[in-house]
Amino acid sequence: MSTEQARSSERGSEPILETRGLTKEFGGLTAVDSVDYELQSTGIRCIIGPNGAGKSTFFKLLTGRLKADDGTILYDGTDITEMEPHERVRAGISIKYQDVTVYPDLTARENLRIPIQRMTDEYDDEITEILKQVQLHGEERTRVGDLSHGQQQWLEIGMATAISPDLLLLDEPTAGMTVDETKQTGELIQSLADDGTAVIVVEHDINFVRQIAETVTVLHNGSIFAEGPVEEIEENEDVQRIYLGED
Amino acid sequence: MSEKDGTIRDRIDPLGDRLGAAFSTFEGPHTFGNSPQFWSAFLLVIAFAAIYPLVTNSYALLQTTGLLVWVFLSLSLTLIWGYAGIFSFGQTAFFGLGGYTFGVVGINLVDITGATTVALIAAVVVPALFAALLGYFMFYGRISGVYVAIITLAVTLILALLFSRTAGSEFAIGDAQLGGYNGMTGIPSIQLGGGPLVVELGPSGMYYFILVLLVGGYLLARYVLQSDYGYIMIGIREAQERTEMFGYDIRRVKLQVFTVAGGIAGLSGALYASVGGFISPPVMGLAFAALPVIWVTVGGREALLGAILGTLGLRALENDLAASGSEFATLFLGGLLMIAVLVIPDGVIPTALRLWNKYTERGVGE
Amino acid sequence: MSLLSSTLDLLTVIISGFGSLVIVSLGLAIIFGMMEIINLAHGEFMMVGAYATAIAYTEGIPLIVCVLLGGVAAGVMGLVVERLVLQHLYERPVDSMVATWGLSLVLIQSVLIVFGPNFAGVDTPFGTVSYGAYSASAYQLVLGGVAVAMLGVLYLIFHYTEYGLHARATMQDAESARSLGIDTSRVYMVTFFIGSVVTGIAGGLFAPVISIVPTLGSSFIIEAFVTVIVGGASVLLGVASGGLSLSVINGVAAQGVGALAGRVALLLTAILIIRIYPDGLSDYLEGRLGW
Repeated sequence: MSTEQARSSERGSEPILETRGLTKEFGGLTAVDSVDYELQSTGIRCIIGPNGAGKSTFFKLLTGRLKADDGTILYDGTDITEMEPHERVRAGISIKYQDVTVYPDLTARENLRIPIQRMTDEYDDEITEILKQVQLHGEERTRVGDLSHGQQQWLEIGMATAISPDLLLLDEPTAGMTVDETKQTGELIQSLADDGTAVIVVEHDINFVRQIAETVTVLHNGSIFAEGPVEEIEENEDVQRIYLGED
Repeated sequence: MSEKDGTIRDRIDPLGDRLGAAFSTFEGPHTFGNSPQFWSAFLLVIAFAAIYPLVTNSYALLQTTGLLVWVFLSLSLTLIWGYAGIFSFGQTAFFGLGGYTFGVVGINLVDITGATTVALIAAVVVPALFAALLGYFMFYGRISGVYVAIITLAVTLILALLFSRTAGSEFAIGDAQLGGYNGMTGIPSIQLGGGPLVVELGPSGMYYFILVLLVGGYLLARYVLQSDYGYIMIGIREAQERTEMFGYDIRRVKLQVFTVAGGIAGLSGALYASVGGFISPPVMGLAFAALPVIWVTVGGREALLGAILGTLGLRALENDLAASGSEFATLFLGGLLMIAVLVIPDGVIPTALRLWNKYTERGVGE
Repeated sequence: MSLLSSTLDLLTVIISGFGSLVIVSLGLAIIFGMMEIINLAHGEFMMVGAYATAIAYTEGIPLIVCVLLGGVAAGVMGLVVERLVLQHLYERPVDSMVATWGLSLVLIQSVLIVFGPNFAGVDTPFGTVSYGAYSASAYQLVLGGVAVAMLGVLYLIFHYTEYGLHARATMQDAESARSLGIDTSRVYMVTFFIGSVVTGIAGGLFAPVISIVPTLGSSFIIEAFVTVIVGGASVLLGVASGGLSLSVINGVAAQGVGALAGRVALLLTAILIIRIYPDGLSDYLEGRLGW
């Protein structure tokens, strides 16, 4: 884990991620509306907001899955707005999208091999380490499609971290999980952040957000509605109103 | 302990051990047939195939050779479809281009160089280049799935249309007449070498040449499949965007695989043209385009063996039924296809091997 | 030939081309748009409609009834095929391509075995239209009008019936439709039936202008697919825009160079359009027009 420490100390005071005026429209609908977002190098940041606020779209713009209609994305100082998705990944961004996507017909070990083989030739030990970290050490020869939903989520988180990203994006990592699994996911994410990875988590579960987040950004109708520490956001009446408006 | 990415193998049989060790580079969780028993059977089949020309008559030998040339076409489809998830309905385009290229270069150069080596190489390179162009257009345009099928189908049909309008002596490249709808005739047989050292392949020679290419290609494909590159291909097949987000340029990998497959299909066409001495536009038409899809679907698209055995079996069946003049031949084939897709969607070989594995209780991935 | 004559010729080719493409593609588009299934037996559904029409015609039944009977025949067959085979293959577009290819082989051979290689043809109604040096088969022009009528009828079905409402919801998002209580399995079945009937009618409409042979479907299938793919996911807008753009390209190339050039141009255009607008023209148009 010394690489992570070395990386943290290398980074200057520049934010690891910055978006300026990031915009995306679908037909007549503006999903992401001129968003200026900034994330410093370390720590866990959450993005919350009612359904349709633009959270997943924002992530897809960051990874390049969607092309922005306007604005720039700066990663560690470099303009990545025109970069292909795989190039952004090689630069250090990794994502776990909302719908769990693992390779169901492969074993857990093989699932991890695919991301890791690009990073090192001696991947057997690395894979074992990650399997331990995501609590799948005993299940490594099971067909992944047979694992529980929660286990698949952890596996995918493990796969996303296997490429040693500097910035990890997690879109609703606890969707469909039990209370217990959610807590363990929180601990997993915390340990990733402790290793020096910057993490942005999109979430619906406010308890989970409270468990892991230092700062929270609230998106509403594609714009940043509010930003601040968890307690502040929770007490913000306007935030409560936009959520109630959804119901 | 021999544990490769989660699979377990028997450890009781010493000869099997040695076989297993010898063949381990060709084994991976996604190759079908990973046991000493398999490799023993494999060696037996090779042995039989090697002595086949000595124990059979020349007619049967020619028939068999005629079947074998199609296998490469199916293998090209298995490579891109079964392993990288790219469904191309137009491999016959490269098959036809390969055949015509071999014909054109062969007819023109055979008297000069005394051999068709250059023709054979050209017959692989030209379709591969065409595949690279088409692949770049499609994959860098992020076209996938069913749209690739439609575009590749359209391409093979366009070629069939264009080539069928080449009747008339003005449509000739050098000494080679394209021949319009009736096709190009007088295509030389394969003569390897050049200048003073030329080996003309008679019927047995042709058979062995194709057999060597086939076995070599099969082993090479298996090797690639268990390598890192093979895993990228599988990742693309299973979940391409997820694989892309691990940092792989999936457009480039798809392009590479598609190009190689185009070359292999071209080789198939060249062999076909040289065995029959002839090539014509219908091989790139709608009816032929479906054939490799049918063979590979029934045989098993994720298994190289499935492609090989499916092709040999079904083509032989088609020939037999056609020869007996039965109108029920195609009817039977069509029905077989529907049943295969519904009942054994993975194909005969993978399903059979899966049942065999369940019966003998092996580990995951074999 | 005078300029007027040439222009009328070109217009005729475009109108009859448009009519052709729309009529032939509509059934396929309905099925593809709803279930994302590529029905490679589409041509054979047309063939069944054409044969039913031709058979009824030999019984002296008026042509228009024959055409409708063709639709019914294809519809019934479609129902059987959907229940037995296709309902297991939704969301497996490639497998459905392979299975329907098998079906097409079975259909062609069955018809060949039962009816032999040829069947009595159907007379072309309406005669010719002439103006000076220009003359054309009136029927081809009529088909252009029929195409528009078919688009209109389907629009009414999709927008003014309960089935239509359920169908559009399922097309948008099957999951959500199910959670709203819509029986998507039944929607698929009815949709496939409608698509088959439309295709059977298409076969019947073409019966007067083609030879009634078991393989008659294969001459339509390529253009049908291409039109659907170029048109894109939105069924009616897609077929209309795909049919229009391709008939114009084909018409210009065919008049300018020759029939073969027309075909090649059509295929090349299709490839280009798919490349530039991967979701088809209807998607582009909907975005542009804000529909």
